[in-house]
Amino acid sequence: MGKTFAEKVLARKSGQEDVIPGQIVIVRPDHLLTHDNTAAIIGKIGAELREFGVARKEMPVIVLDHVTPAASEKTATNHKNIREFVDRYGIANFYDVGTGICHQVVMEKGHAKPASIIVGSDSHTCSYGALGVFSTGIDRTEAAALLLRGETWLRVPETIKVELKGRFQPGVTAKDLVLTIIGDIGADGASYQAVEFHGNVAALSIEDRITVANMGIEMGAKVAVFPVDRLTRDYLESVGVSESDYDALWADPDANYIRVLEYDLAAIEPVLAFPHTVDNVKPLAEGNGLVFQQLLLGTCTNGRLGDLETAADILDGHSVAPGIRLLVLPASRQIFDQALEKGVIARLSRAGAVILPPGCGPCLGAHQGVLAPGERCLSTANRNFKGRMGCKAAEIYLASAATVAATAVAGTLSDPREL
Amino acid sequence: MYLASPSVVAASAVAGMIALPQQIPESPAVFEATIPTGGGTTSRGSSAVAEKPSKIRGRVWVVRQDNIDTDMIYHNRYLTVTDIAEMGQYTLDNLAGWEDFAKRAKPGDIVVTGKNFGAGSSRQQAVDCFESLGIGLIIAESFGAIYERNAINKGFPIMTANLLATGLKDGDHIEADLATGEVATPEGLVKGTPFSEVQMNIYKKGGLLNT
Repeated sequence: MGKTFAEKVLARKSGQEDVIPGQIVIVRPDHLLTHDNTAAIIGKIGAELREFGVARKEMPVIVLDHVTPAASEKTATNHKNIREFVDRYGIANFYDVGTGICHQVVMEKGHAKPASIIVGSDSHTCSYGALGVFSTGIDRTEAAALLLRGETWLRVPETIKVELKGRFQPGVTAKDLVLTIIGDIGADGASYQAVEFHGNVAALSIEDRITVANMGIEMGAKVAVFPVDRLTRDYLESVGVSESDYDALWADPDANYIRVLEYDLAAIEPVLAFPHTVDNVKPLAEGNGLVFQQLLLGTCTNGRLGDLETAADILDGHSVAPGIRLLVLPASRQIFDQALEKGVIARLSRAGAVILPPGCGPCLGAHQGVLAPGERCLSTANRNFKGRMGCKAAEIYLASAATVAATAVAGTLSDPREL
Repeated sequence: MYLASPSVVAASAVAGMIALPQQIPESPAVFEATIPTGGGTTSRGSSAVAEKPSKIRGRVWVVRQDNIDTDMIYHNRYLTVTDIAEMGQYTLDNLAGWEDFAKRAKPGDIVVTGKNFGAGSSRQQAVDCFESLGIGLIIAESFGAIYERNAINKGFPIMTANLLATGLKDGDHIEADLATGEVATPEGLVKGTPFSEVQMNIYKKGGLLNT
């Protein structure tokens, strides 16, 4: 019997010939990602850190992104404590305020290598599945234990196979694909399972794959992973990771799956996740006439150069409609710089967008665009939970960058295919 | 806070110290961090924790809903709270119909709920708030994957069993055996998933940080 991606990676990394779903293995992750919550994590183990130190200094990757620049004395103090921790323990991989959203930074700084294991105290750590990484979110207790011990346990997941064919129609994006899948299988449709993407994955750019993998957790997935192909290798090369730096793994053709799903990309239509759950997905037409006060273009799901360019192409020659605030957050400084050099930022700004610094921004409701009661936001983010953007009496809808830009121009929900 | 001209601010950014534009050094100044003693704000005691019971009995709250996410359990407006003792009061206050749960719940109570409990964020507070209230056990038909690990690693008892299919109602008393997965209810015995060896080991020692 062949093996799935997850079975192969966890066998290799736990030093075993063979592992089966349900089995618990002990592994030493290649990296542990933490962000602003590093302050709370090290707060749990102050005495132990002083006595034993950090087990593996090359393992932690720390990125300040959640509330940056600090929005309060409390968040400023957290950042300060983290910087002192980094200095004291010689943590090599530290990225301060302004570098970007942690998941984007992990990839563009070359930390995400195929068939490596990355765990992070953030649920969207699953993003690096786009590059063939076994990456998954963990909790703070575990992150604290990892700092001290350098190893943790993982349960070998069952795997769902998603077979892709065809190509998107113009105006339809990877965001529509992943929202469609989540709508079909539900927020727990892949709970504690791996999701592998097969078939015509070449139709998805690396940016597209990151969008899809990023939202794996919204279907409950442990990991959401793509095979390593020419596009992956080129991307890795561009961030300084050469082929000799990794040994990629992929599933055998006769691997055992608990479920197989098939999607024809040509049949995917623009969709919208209605409040207040990500799996409340409906065709765009069902939201006809919806008016929004705020639009958010950015986040770890859709804050990359392609997303900004898509939006700029739609906004060119137009202005953001009256009564709408369009907030734009590039996912990283590198993306911001590229967008500046290509003139994309100028085009967005001229159309009336508010450009915010690279970071998580308003996605988690802490600052930079909190909603008021009764307001409605259309967002390219990955979550629309009640109160997610700071106000319980506001509504959040999720869609692609193209749909957000089309709506910015039209003033009401608009289908990017009709432009 | 110090106020200066844009040129001095820019020169100082490059210099790493206060500097005039014409006085920027070849390489920026680097200062050893001034480190106060103590790495964190709180530290748990390292004394041995009394071994936890493998059977838990208590009064139940039946939360008949699937996909309760971490923002419903512990809303993001309280994320800056770091003291676990303060977290309990906010438990479920963003879940329609359960806003006053924290006032009604008593230590030792058991929460019974549906599928995918704790979906969403990896936030630790969504587990810690129940611990803060003294909730004895959460039994769900299934848990969000990260939430499940979160609770296991914290040593907070959670168990998978489908109790919503029974006629269980608020105020009933049940007894759950974490080792066998059996839950004794007024409606009869329900078979759930027993703790795995790893989970039991972490739980008995009071959390991963005590193992």
